[in-house]
Amino acid sequence: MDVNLLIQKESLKDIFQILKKTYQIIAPVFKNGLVVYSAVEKFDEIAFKKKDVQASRYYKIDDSSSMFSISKPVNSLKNFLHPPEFKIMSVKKKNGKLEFLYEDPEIKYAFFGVPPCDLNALLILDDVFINKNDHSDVYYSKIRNNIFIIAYTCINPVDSCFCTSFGYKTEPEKGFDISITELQDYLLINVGSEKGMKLMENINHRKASIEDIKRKEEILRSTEKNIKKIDIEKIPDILYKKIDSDFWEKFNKTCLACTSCTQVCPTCFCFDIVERNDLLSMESHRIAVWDSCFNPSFATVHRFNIRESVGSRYRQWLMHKFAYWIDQFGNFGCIGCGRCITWCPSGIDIRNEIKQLSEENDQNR
Amino acid sequence: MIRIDNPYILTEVEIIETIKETEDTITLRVESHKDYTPGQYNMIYIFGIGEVPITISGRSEGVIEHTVRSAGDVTKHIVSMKAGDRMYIRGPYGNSWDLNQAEGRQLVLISGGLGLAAIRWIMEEAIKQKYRFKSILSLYGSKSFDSLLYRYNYDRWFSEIEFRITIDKPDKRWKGNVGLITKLIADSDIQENAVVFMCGPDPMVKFSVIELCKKGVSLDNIYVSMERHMKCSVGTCGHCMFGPFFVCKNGPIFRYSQIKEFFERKEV
Repeated sequence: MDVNLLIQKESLKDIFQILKKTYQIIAPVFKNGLVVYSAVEKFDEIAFKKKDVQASRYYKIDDSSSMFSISKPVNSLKNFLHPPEFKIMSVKKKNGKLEFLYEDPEIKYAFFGVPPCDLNALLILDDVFINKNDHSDVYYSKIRNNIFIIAYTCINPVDSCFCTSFGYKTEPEKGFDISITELQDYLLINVGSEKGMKLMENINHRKASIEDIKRKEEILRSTEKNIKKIDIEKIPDILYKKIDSDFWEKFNKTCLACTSCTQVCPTCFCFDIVERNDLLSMESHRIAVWDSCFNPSFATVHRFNIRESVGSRYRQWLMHKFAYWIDQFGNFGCIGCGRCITWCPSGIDIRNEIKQLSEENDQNR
Repeated sequence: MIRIDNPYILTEVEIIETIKETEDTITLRVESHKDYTPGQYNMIYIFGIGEVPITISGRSEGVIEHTVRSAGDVTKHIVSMKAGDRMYIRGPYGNSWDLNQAEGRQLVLISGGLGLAAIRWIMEEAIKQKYRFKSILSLYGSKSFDSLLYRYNYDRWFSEIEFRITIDKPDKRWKGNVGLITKLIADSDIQENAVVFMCGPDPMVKFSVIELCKKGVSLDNIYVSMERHMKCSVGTCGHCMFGPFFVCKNGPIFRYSQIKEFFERKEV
């Protein structure tokens, strides 16, 4: 589908009102100094005309002249489709027998303002939970089937961004219902689905001209120039070769195993299943809770932790993203959003680590 | 509304009989009419405590067997269960041993400790199809005399195949082989083109492979059933990840040559 329309900036509010009838709207919201995806009731709550400044261990929100200037919120769509905690089922004992009530989420989310990197991460999660999983995850797929996505073209890449290294573009490529590129006086809408088309039928619009498309392409080009690329082509092979390297030892000292990176990562999907018991109702709930390969309990079998050293846990994380993931799902598990770089309290920059590994590999040749 | 394909759905089953194996280990005979193959496992759920993956250690008409050692919160409850109790399970999960690989050759089964539970059913199948193999050798290593499993099967196994036991720390009651399984492997007649099915603790597997290599056995012909921390058992939660593999769905059985580069490394 390649339909490009122009709408007035004010029409965005109409889109909001229409979607609000069917969906719980989730949008980037500015609160407590951060921009995070949050449930919103009013259009004005959305963090328009704000931009983030990010670098290793640095985060700040400034004002911007453009509506869509957030490179990415702190959290990601993962928080809604695969939330930090969700109930798998409730179990109740009745007459000596167990009764099971399996969760079936009915929620419908409309994501109002998703940058391309988060859209790319969503497509990766789709592979993990649905497309390349023999037992597709019922909770994820149920929520996934009922979402509406308004994506937008990135105009404000930050210092920790490196998405173009993976060949990603700075515009939403696929998986959205409508995508927005902000031009001087109008919004250029690219329609990505039937659902998106239906919505646009209710909004005043005119067809975009070739000049409008050209202007968008200029924006894409100038944004792309501002994103630092790293060379990742040979990384999977290098990682397999370097699995025994003493390179990993330094992480015993530098990595705090705090799990910040895995929490902000939009593709980290690992979870634990815990029982939460209610002594009053005598009910037990099976809850899926985000877990992290940095937690000491993560790989523990019979009280013996297979990955005792933090260095081995960092290796597991990096190798999963940049090597194992390709064997498992056919793609890198990283989309280059750089959240792990911004939020690592220890200042570990995944790009530098990859660069160092490549250099070591070249020297040993 | 319940979706049928929900992988977490539990099925109620009845325990027909429990057999006390050792001080801390029992075998549950459970009624189940599902399709199972040797090497697969079920998740067993205990109300309010959690789930554990347990291999299927035996199968007869309408009955499956699970051998469980009390090692944690969930298994502690499982070993206290009695005949007539109801149990909740989901499965089966994972891949299976493939006897076709050993057609016309010597089949060697190696197990250590509770690893025998993962070998027992395929051993019974192999005995039934004895004519297909040149010979069957089953080696079993146990820590002590008291921790020997399935004693009630030994007479039959001794008469049907070459079944050898070694005990690492025996007492006066033991008259047989003494030492680790690796010694028993070294002392046994194992042919170069033998096919090996193995289950035991990681270090046992590692050193057994070294002994097997000395006998000229190819790494392509060694199959290992692995144990990892499985939570969801459908390849989603990430806990059992081992190199690029999810042990829960790509395994638990792997051809050794396939996992060698990860198995022989620390902390993978």
